[in-house]
Order: sequence, then C-alpha cells, then structure tokens
Amino acid sequence: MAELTRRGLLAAGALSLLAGCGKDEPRQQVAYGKPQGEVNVWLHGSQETGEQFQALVHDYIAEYRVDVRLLYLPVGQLDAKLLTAFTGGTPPDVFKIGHWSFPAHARKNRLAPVDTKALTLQNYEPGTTTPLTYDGVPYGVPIDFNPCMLYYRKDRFEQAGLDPDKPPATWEEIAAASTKLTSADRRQVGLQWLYGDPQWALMMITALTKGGTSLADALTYMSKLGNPKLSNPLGALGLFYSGEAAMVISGAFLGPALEKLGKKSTPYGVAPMPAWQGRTSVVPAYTWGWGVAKDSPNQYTAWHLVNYLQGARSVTTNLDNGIIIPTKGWRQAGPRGESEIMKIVADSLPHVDFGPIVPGTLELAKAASSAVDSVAHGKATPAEAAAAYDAATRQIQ
Amino acid sequence: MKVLVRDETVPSRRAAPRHVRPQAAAGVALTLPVAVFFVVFWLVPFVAAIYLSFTDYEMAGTPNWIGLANYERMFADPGFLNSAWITVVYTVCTVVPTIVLALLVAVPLAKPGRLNRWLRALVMIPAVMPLAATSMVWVIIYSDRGLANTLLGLAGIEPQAWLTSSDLAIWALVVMVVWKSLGLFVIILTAGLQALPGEVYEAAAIDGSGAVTTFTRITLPLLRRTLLFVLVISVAGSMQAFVPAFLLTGGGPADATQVLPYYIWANAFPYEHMGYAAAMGMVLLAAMVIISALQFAFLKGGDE
Repeated sequence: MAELTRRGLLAAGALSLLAGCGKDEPRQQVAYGKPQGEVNVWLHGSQETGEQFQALVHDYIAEYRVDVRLLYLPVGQLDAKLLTAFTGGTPPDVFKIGHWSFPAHARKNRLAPVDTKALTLQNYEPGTTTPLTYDGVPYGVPIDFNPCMLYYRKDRFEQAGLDPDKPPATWEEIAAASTKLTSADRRQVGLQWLYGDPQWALMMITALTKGGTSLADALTYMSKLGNPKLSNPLGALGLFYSGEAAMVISGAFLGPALEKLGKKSTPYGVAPMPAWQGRTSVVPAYTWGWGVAKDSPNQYTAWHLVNYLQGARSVTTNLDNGIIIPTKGWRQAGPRGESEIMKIVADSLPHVDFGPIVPGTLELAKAASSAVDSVAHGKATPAEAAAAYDAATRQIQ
Repeated sequence: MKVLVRDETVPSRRAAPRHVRPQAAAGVALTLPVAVFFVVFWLVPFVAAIYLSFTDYEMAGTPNWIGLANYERMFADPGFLNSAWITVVYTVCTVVPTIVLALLVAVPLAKPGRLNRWLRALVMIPAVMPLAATSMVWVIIYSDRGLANTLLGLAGIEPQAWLTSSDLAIWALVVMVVWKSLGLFVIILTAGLQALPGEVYEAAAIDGSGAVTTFTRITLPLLRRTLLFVLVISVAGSMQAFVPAFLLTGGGPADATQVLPYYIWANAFPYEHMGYAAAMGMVLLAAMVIISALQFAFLKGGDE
C-alpha cells in the first residue's frame, strides 16, 4: 500500500504541475468600440524619445481611463521574448518590432489585422505601410520611415582635395572618391560598409543589385571599398565620428546621434542615396511598426492606443528631435517638415525599397551578411559568395 | 514442475517494522520536490526535444513528423558543418591550454603558506565574475586602441583587428575563455594535489627522484581522477559555449566564430526552425556523451 501511495503521489504531483503549465484558453474579448480595460505594450526605446512617448501615454490614460502598461526591453532581446510569449500563448497586446519580423508572425497567424474602425491607414505616406502588409492584409502601423542616405565628412574631403560641397552622386563617383580618401595602411577609408550586420548587408545588396548590377559584381564592388577589420565600440557611427571613415550610408538618426557624441562638432554633409551611372537610384529603407497580437483580449483598445500614439503631437515632437522620421503628417508640419533631411526623405520616397517581404527575411539577411563578409575577408570569391547566397535564397523561399 | 525458492535473507516490505513506514513517508516527502523538478524541468523537455527533432516544428501550429529529414538536412548544411568544425577547434584550443596552465599554476599554489592562500583567492576572481560582464570588458580590451593593442605597441608590434579579423577572432575568444576558466580549474587541481599522500613523495625523495620525474611518474598518475573530472567538465563546457561568441563577435566575422550552440540558437529562435535546432542539439548531445565516455575509458584505467 505504501508503494502504491508513493507512486501515486509522485504521478499526481507531476501531472498537476504539468497541467498547470498548459496553455490557457483564449481570453475573452473586451467589449468592442470603446477604449477601456488594460493594454500591455512591449517596446524598446531611447533616452531621447522616451520622455515624449511616456507623456503621450500618460495623456491617453488620463483621457480614456485605460490602464496602459509599458514594458521596455533591450532591442536585442525583444524579438526572442516576444516569440516565447507568442508560443506560450501570453503575448502583450501591443508591441513594436521591425518590419522584417511582420511576415513571419503574420504567416503563423499571430497578428491581428489592423482594425480600420479604430485606426485609419489613409494618411500614411505612400509605400510606408507596404512592408507591414502580408498577403494583402495590413498587420501593422509604421512608426518611422528610415530611408538610407549618404553621410560624408567635409573635412576629409577637403584634405583629399575633393569638393566638400559636391558629394558623390553615383556609385562610380563613390569608388573614385574612396580611392582618394583611403590611406596606404587602410586605417582611413572612403566609404565604410556596416560589416557583420545582416539587415544592413541585405539593404546594401538591394540597393546595388536592384539599381542595375549582378550580385557577383555588387559583391566585387563592395569588397573594393572600406576595411572590414576597422572596429569601434560604436560601430560605423564611431568610425565616421572619429574620421576613420569618410563616408557611411545610414539613416536620418545618424545626425542627432553624432550631435549627442558632441565633444567636437563633426563637419559632415548629407546627400541622397547614390545610383549607378545613368540609372535611377534604389533607396533601401526600413521601418519599425506597431503590431497587435491576435490573442489580445482588447484589440480595439490596442489599435485605438496605437492611433493615438501616431497622432499630430507625435509628428511634431519627432520632427523636433530629428531621430524618428514620421510616416505621416510631416508635409503639413510647416518649417519642421522642410529641413535638409526631410527634403532628402521626400525625394527618396518614389525610389524606396523595403527589401523582400517574406517570412524568411531574417535568414535572407544573414545569407546576405555572410556573402558580403566572406568576400570582404577573402574567404570566398564574389562568384562563390553569390552562388552560396542564391542557394540560400532558394532554400528559404 | 516448479521449484519455489523463498529467500529469507531479503526482508519483505510487508514484514517491515512499523517505525519504517513514517521514515519512508518522510523520504518520499523530502524527495518529491526534487523528483518533480527533475521530471518537469529535465525529463519532459528532454523527451520533448527528442520528439521535436523528428518534426518540422516552427514555433507555431502542430509539429508534423518528418522522420530523419532534419538529420539528413544537417549533414548537407554548410552552416552546420562550418559550426561543427569551429566547435571542434574552439573546444580543443580552450581545453588543452586551460588544463595545462591550470596544472602549472596549481602545483606551486598547492603548497602551504599564507601567500599561496592569497594567490588562490586572487586566481579565482575571473571565474566568479559574470561571463556577460567579462565579455564586455574583453570587447574593450580587444578594441583598436584597447589594452591588447597597447601591449603589442609596447613590444613594437602593429595593432591587430582582434574581433574583426576572420583569422584572429576565434583566437581572441579562446584567450578570453582560457583566462575565465583558469581559476576554477586551478582550485580543483589544487584540492586534488593537496589530497595526495605525502609519504609517496617522501619515498620518492629518498629514492632520489627529481622534480620532473616525481611530477610525471607520481603526481600525474595519482591526480588522474581529478584530471578526469576537470577534462570532462571543461570539454562539456566548451562544446556548449554560447555566451562568448554571442557577446564578443555575434558569430562573425564571416561566420568565423559561429560555434554550434550559436548556430542552434539562431535556428531555434530568430529563424524559428525549432525542429531542426532540436535535431542539431541531439547530435551535439550525442557527441558530448561519446567524448565523455572515451575520456572515462582512457583515464579511468589503473584506479584499482
């Protein structure tokens, strides 16, 4: 009898614990059409934009009596935490993720389509909602618009005998300028690529190949510029700030970031994304978007909150801090929306390319990074790297 | 015809004295939390991982049984083969120098004395520091103008791209891991050395044995069990190492430091190929079990 009890006790304990770990039943939807209840938001933030964002949230809470709970996570950990929350059936109501993550989540039925009764997508700049749309269904709202642009150091241009007021406009001019700007030991270079970063590698390959060359030629071109062995704790931003890199391709956030470093003013200029000679430029871009979980019990309020966060107040404060380029409303924002950066942003819109909108974007980006880095480090020829990238692409798609 | 034999030497449970039952109940009660912990956090995930390795599970929906497809895919996957090779290099190059250095440091430190007590405490400092924090420190040490290049400069050597050169990055990781693991192994080996019988050394000294002969003929054979322990845990630790590659190099440059645990993690989480990642995890586990068994077979002999 004692033996039976012991086994029974063990089994009952284990089973009850396992049962407790099981997935809960879907939570019941809060009544539709009126913001109410509780909304959990997971996001990453920055010191520069955090204060204004929290002020907006506090105003929303005061106005609509909704309990909004923010959870700030490091950008590198948000995706993994969100994935485990989805798998465990306990995702937050609202979350902020990169556009490249939307297709995979949408394909796996984790996202709620945009609720057009709580939020309208009509006022967004053309094309900015495309990367958050999967199979024709919009699943997210773009928070910012980050088209690539060329940053160049005017002081380095002057030292090399180049006109600091005439930045290169084509990839051929970039190569010619880089030759003059690169020192014999390659400790100083012209254009520096962002090595080891999958998203940026994919964006650069997109710009070069869709702009009018083959992948192997694009890899050959990339391998002749920059120095993959240069390093700085702040990455390419640090190399540009120190002057080791005379040119980098980055987003609009780079200017404010340079000013924040601010011990010395950096004499830099900004120019549109280059194009191949005689071709139209292709401007790679990315966006962070708000999404709402399909399992959220309060979807209407979640989209209502997102709509509030994207309002006119957000547009003006973002234009003031310069870090986040809004995806709507800046053309009506007066002088704020007419800066040099915003002119480049406006001109780039017709040529924007958000890259492949497929569930395997992260793997494609990794394959792109492997291709660029293996050629840059002399581990593969451009033809070999291009073949490996093509093979990876076929497998992913 | 059956012959029934009753062994009277084995006490029957039914015949157990009454006072044994409360003791058994207490034993069950005390064991239960550990048993539940073992089942929930070890056995169930382990069995689930074996099952998932035969499925196409992608972190959503129902896992579909695909037999050995994940295992077949693995051996045609250049990423897996590259990672497996890097793991072999990384394991050999971290384990061998760590144990050799630990032994060289432990022999003098095992001797009594106040100074040695202090030194034993000091040598443990890297081992007790969090790996994430030490990784960040080493990122700074390896930066262009960091300590590593400053020391090279003092020796008249050109600065090196420690973490951004595909030829150097793996060695930069190895140096950090050896530095980090050394202290723990020094302490284990010191304890092993201090437990060796002194009379054997006295007899060797009377017989005129030199320091090197004493070390190779007496110390090493007597230290075999401790060395086996150190070898098994260091090999297992190196084969599972994820944090150094994740924090120092992100598996780069050009995948030069993409050890197998990093590749498994990348497939499991960012890419959501949980079934494939589970299969790679099973292969890594099998490799570790085989290597551990070989280590036991080679070093266990002679105990009797």
